[in-house]
Amino acid sequence: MKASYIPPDDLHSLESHLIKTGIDNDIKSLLFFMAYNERYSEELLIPLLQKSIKPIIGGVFPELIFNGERKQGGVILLPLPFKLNTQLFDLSETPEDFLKQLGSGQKDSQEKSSTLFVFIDALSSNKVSFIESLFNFFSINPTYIGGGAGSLKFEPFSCIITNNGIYANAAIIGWVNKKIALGVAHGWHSVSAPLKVTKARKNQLMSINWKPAFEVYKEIVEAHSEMKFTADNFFNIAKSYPLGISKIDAEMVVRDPFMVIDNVLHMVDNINEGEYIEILHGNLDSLLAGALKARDIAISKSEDGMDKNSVFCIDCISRVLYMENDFLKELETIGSDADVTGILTIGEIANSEESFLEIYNKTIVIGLW
Amino acid sequence: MVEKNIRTEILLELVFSTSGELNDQLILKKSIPLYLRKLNCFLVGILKNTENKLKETMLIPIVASKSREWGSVKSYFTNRKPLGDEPCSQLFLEGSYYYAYSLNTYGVLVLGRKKPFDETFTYELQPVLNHLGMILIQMREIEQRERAEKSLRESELRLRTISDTTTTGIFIYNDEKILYANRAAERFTGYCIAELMTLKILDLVHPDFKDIFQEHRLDNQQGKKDSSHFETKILPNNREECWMDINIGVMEWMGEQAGIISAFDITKRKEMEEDIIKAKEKAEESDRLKTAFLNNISHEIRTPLNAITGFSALLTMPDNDPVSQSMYIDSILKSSDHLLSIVYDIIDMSNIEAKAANIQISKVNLNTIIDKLYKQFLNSASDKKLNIFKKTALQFEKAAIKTDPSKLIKILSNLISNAIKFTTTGNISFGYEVKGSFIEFFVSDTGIGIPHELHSKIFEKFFQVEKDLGRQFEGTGLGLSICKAFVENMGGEIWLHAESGSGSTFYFTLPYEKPGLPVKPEIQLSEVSIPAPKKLRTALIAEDNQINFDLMKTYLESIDFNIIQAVNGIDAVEICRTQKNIDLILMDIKMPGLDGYTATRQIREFLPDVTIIAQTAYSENKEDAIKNGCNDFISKPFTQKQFISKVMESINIS
Repeated sequence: MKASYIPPDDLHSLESHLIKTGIDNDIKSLLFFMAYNERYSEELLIPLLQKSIKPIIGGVFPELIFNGERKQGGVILLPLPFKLNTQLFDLSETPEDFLKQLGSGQKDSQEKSSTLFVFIDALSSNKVSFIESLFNFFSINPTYIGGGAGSLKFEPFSCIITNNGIYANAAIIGWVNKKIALGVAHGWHSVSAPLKVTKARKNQLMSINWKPAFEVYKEIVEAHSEMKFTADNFFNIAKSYPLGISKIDAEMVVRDPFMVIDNVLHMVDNINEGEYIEILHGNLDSLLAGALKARDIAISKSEDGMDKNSVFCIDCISRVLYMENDFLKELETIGSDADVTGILTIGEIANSEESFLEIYNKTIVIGLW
Repeated sequence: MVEKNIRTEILLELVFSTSGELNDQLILKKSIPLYLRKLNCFLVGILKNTENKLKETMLIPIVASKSREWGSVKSYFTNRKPLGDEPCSQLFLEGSYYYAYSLNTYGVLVLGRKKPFDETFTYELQPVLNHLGMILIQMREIEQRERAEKSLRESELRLRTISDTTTTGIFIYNDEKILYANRAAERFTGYCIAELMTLKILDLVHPDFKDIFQEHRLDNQQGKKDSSHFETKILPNNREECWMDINIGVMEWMGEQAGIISAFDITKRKEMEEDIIKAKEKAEESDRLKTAFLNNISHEIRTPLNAITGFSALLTMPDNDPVSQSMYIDSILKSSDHLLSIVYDIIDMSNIEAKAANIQISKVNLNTIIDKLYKQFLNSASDKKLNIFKKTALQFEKAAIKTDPSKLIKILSNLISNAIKFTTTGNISFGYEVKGSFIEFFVSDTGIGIPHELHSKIFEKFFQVEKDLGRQFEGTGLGLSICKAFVENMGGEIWLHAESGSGSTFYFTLPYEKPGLPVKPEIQLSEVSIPAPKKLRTALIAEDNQINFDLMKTYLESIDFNIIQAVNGIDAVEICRTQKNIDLILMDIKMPGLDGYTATRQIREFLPDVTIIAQTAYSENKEDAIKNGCNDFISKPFTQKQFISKVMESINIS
């Protein structure tokens, strides 16, 4: 089933595509991805969304991927041949509320071979408890695939899309009783010894080994990179040196520092006090190897009947920022003989029947169905 | 090498995850997600040891608790312990690996993974989880201790509140020394708590009860199952002694045996008990006196009745000589008088008891009464060779007062009669003096006197009766109590001066109320000019008792009345309708058919002016008679003199 791309400022085309998907009986649900730049306003978009009779889930993301190309503006409509059981969540509520709502909205969504699409406001402070609530409810029954919506400006705005409108500080899920093939990898590797997070709060890392976090980080990174941090080049260097949280028998969970303020490292996602981390580094080759690995894992898990020629990709925007123009190579790697469509996200959500659900950074997720 | 370092760091991280929390639930809440994340597990569950059974208390994901698989896992690990040197129990089920680690006596932690742990790692994990278990146990014990301490504090507060608010006094003491007292104890001992702490228990006990208290002292309480219970008196500070109901038990206080006393004030109850006992004794005494009185009354009545019946029977004998007959008649009359006085006494006392002894004030001349009584008792005194004197303080014209003459005469008669009865030689004197707004009467004799200790009792009913059966003087014992009741009803006082063997003087006062108009001299029978016999006067006697009818007929015929008889009220009314020349009706009140008062009201409808005198043996009064239409009232028994005087008075008035 082919995705459609609608350039920005072509509302008429968007509307007509939505109408078409509405009357196409083979299309059961729709993934709606909109790039942040030149995005349609809520006033224009909401009426179109509300007119759609097919379940819609999606969001506004920093960039999109369509047919193996980066798209910094426009809309991707990705039709699905299966009907999603969708549910919207207000992330200002409590975990008990989330469980209650899941209990009422998803009480029949307990099949083992299933998939759960999750798109979440990347700036929400309640992301982690929502993800934990999802895991508490669904366990490892479904394959989780999704990511964080938002923009690189890291300013809150309405970025979660449903049939009823566009929401801020929200999350949208869509469950289907069908298993997709998933591959997750990142390609970053450790360049430091394990370091203890001695003080942290949510996504802010205050101290490492009882020393100011940035000082420790800086010492290691500068030594490795042979570059010096200045007042305005933090991200330029840091994008190559994420942090990794160790796990037994699994890929490290990557954490992406995006700014430093008063020696406090600000990460894209949460980091817990007491955890051991390592400073990671990668290069184009390792990252591409990671991308390939993700694709291969997905293909290895795919079943007969899955469209291996259409690859759905959730890739971290910071990988793009790191690779810059070489990002095309990553898209080529994962879409060597397939169409690649997807989103560039702020944080990735993925799990494949193995373990606790986590939010990843700087990671690539490949899905096939 | 790096891999091993990571494992070591992760294990260390898991160990340190328990720090900073003081509650086993919070520790688990913090640690369990870390185990999930760090050990790459899809499930972590805690089976807590509760009453020797493992119960699931935490599980992530929550939804796993509904799965059949988890049920099997739980069941397996609940019944299985690691064997020998095994670090944990293991289970492979439906493609997943489950590991159950002991958390010491706290319980078991179960991990679920899709991939198996490295065997070495399973051993490395064991001490980490053992440490977690120890921390959880410590936290649980701390929590239990805190709960116990909180419960103890609350219990203490509750007890203190109960102790401070109860109205029962509580003392705790050892070696007699007071160790604790509550607010109620302060209130009824009159000492503040600080002062009580300086006292010994026995300091508070009334001297008369110290022995009883000693019997119940602490060392006597040892080993006793029940507390001691008794009543005692205490000596409060600056207050009258009071009665307390005491319970003494034994308890431990500050690690030592101590006595605990709970006490409450029963003074009021004791006072009520004493009142009840006194009332009971009084009632019993009264009952005793009444029984004695009844016995005596029976004797007093039977004695004259015996004479009356006996001499009456003798009179019927055909061969009586006039002297004997005269003696018999005299005896009968004297016995009748005596019997009548007993009846009057009983009637008076029953009226007094029923508070029906109404005072009927009228104008009387004191000197007339004194003279009358003097004449009345002169013969009795002379018979005993006693001198009798009278004294009047006012001249005749000024001796008029307003009082109840019949009661005044009764009082003086009783006192003079007693004086004569209890004097064998010497003098009797009586009279009055004016004492401001009261008239003070006296009756004095040189008789046997009255011991001082009996002065207060002598006015009690039946008092004289209480003497033993070998008594020297006859009498019902009611006279003085009747005098006292009459005097007090009329607003006066009565008292006596007497000593045993030295005679007695009785005094009583009555209010001195002067009448507005001069008092008419009393019409004496001897002064009444009986009109010349006129056979025109006709009297109707309505009386259902033939003997009483015959008596009244005899009296009226002696003053030249024609007599008509009616045997009941109906007859009386009928006769009055047909016979218009009736001058006087003597109406018995209690008659069969129609009673006297009803008959009188009916007769009044057509004979408004005829003289009707109510006559009855019941304790009716003149007011009732007047209210029902009669002109006057005479109560049985009456003498001939009294009867004719009443008749003449009524006729003269009408």
